[in-house]
Amino acid sequence: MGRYVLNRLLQLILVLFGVSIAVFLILRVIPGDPAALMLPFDAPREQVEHLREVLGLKEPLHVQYLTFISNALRGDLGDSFRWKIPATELVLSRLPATLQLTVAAMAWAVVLSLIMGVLAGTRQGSLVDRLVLALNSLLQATPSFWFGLVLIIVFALRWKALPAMGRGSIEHVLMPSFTLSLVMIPTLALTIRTNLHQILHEDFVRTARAKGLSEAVVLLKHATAPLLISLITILGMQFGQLLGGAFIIEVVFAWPGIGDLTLQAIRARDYTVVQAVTLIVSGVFVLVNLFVDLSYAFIDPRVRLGRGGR
Amino acid sequence: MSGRKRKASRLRKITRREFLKGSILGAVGSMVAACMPSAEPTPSPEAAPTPTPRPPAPTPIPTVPKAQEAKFLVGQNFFGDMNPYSNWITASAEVTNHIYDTLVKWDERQENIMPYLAESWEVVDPNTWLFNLKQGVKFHDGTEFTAESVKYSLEEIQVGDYGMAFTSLFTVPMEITVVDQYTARVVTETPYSCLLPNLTIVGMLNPAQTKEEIDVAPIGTGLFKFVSLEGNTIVVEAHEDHWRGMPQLSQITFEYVEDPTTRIVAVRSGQAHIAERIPVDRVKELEEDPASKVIVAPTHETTRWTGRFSGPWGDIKLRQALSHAVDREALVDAFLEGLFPVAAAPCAKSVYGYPPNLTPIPYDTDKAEALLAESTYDGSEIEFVGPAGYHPKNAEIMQAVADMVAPLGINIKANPMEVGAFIEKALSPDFPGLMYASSVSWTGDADLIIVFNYYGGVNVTGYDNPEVNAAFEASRMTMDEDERRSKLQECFRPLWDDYSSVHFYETVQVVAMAQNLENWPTPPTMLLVAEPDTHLS
Repeated sequence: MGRYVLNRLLQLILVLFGVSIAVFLILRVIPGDPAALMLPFDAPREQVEHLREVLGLKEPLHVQYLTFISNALRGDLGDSFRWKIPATELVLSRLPATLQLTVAAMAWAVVLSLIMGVLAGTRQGSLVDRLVLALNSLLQATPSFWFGLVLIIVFALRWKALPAMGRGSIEHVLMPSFTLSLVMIPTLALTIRTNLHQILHEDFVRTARAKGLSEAVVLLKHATAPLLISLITILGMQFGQLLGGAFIIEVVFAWPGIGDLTLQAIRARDYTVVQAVTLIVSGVFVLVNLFVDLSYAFIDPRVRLGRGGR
Repeated sequence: MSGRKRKASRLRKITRREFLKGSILGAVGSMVAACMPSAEPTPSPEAAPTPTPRPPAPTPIPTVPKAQEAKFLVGQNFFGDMNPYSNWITASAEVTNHIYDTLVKWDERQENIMPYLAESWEVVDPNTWLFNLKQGVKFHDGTEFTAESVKYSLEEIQVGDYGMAFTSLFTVPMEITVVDQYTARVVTETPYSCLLPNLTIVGMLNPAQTKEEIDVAPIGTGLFKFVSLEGNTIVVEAHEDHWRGMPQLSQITFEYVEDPTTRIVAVRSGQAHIAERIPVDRVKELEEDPASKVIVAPTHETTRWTGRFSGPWGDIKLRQALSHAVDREALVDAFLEGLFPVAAAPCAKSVYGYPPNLTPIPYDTDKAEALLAESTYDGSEIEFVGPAGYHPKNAEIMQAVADMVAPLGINIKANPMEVGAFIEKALSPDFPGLMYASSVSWTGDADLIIVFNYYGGVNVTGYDNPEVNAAFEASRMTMDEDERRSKLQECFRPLWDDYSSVHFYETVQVVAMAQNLENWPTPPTMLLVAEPDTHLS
């Protein structure tokens, strides 16, 4: 187990290394010059060139990369071109907002998908099942930014019940997190439905029923554990999608997270910030998935990780 | 199985059960937890130790009602640092204009330059200006505003850091001397008659602050003090000791909100008091809501389409043909609710130096066809690039223009681009096509429009017209204000006759306000800055 974790952590370093090269190159390949974007459109040419030099953009690419990676290894991802403060500080200051949003969205998604999945999974083929499936397809087809705007118009404008934007109180997080959860619900609900249906036809469930246990006890006591495995797998896999979805939702609700920061940084070609965001988010993503894999061993005693594991 | 192993497996079993229970509880728990406001506020640059001591904190006056806290939603992200000279971003300039005062200001009608931090000034000779400063003006940290501030500020602009946008504002080197505590002398290398208009946008820095300090926690003499910058939110609060008296608003929170619908709903639902960059097609909605009002006001900006004069655009017949081939009125009606006036000159009416005697280019397809026949244009494709979304509806307008002129045989391919990519393309010296550009004067003076866009061939398009150059140079040399103005006006006639660009419309700004927000000015600079009497009723 220890060796397994160590291996995975080594993989993390390799992933981050690969990501650092990719993001470094992509930023410099796409058109757009950070210096020209910082100055007025009609700024004299030599002023732009001077600024490029100040920002260290006139060095050959491999020199720029080596400087970047050697500083990064010492934990310094460089100063933001625009904010003039360390990019890491900037990203970490925005990360809690995004994590709050994604965790809240996950909570919505888990609760709502469980309701939908259990309703449908225990009654496959019934009218309820079909209604849930129809709702699921509808959710899948709904663009999240549009749904967010509809929520804003209904809850903030018509009913004046929730704030339209920003971060602060509990009310602020409800609409954006609910909107974001739509990214996840369709897959999650469908997985729960299918899995539950299978589980309910397994031998141990038949045994439990034969013992005379009520359907509720069968569901809660015997079907939960195997269901959790698939639930957690999907949660881990969809975490990345959720982060991606957060980028759009943060813009709609003016949620001051990393999605919104990244968008600004990309538009401004603030290379250091985009690099820092990508590295930090990749790290979080890999760690979340490692955690998911480790949790299998906790949930299902049959799972062994590492050497000799199945 | 050894005892140790058995123990371990039992341990794991217990952990597993706990984990199962925990994860079910956790799903519910995390929802509650996630809904909680984070206990720790995210660190802000303001939290960093500020070397300059905070003002001798006069405790907030309790008589100021909490309701005087206004929220301002900007539609453009802040540049990043808080330096008033580092950038041209309107949203950032709006904030720094609350924090910093300038030496001089335009009057409301944009006719005369009025004293502000400078009580009076004197042109000693064409190269020498003497500024007498107002006494008793206090910075937010309690120190006094003196001639040292003028020297520090104007030197910082010129040499402080060549990466700052404002450096290109002053095209003539200046030398600044402190004559006495309240008198500063500015000596320019050559006569520089536009010094005063330029100074209307230069905030006076606190000489006690280094550039690094200004970047994160600026201290000025302005009506409002910087409090914090966190995420997309900047907070300023009333400066009690301002020389014009304490402003009625006790606090202003600036927040960047990208989506216009979100900005509009926030104002209509009472979450914010003022929002800028409202799309023109939302004016009616805001007018009809009793909770909000909407202001449609002129600006110093005109938009135009132009190209490099070394390429196909150098052919005046093509320029004329295209200019007559576009039905500007129809475009404005179709895409901009008819709110934007069609340009009648190369600059907006509100700009100082606007030539009153020019007339709009008429839409005339017969004339366009005839001119096209005389031109060297061979029907090959002309790429038309523009920064998508930067000007209202510009992507749609570009496509409409391409469709409009196609029947005449002008083959335009509209290519709206992401802003960064557009700038790179437009600035590349060998780009032969058309670009969507704007002429804007940040100072409100025609001088900037000429020097950045048309003077001496050093501009982006390479435009070089001896008549324009001569009139412009004369305007810079004269110290007589009426003559300067007429020389600036003279610059525009040859530009217009030369069809230097396809001039399109004058930009109009649309601002949404809560019904109870009073006296927040919407000047043509598009910099919405609260005045002492701005308040919530």
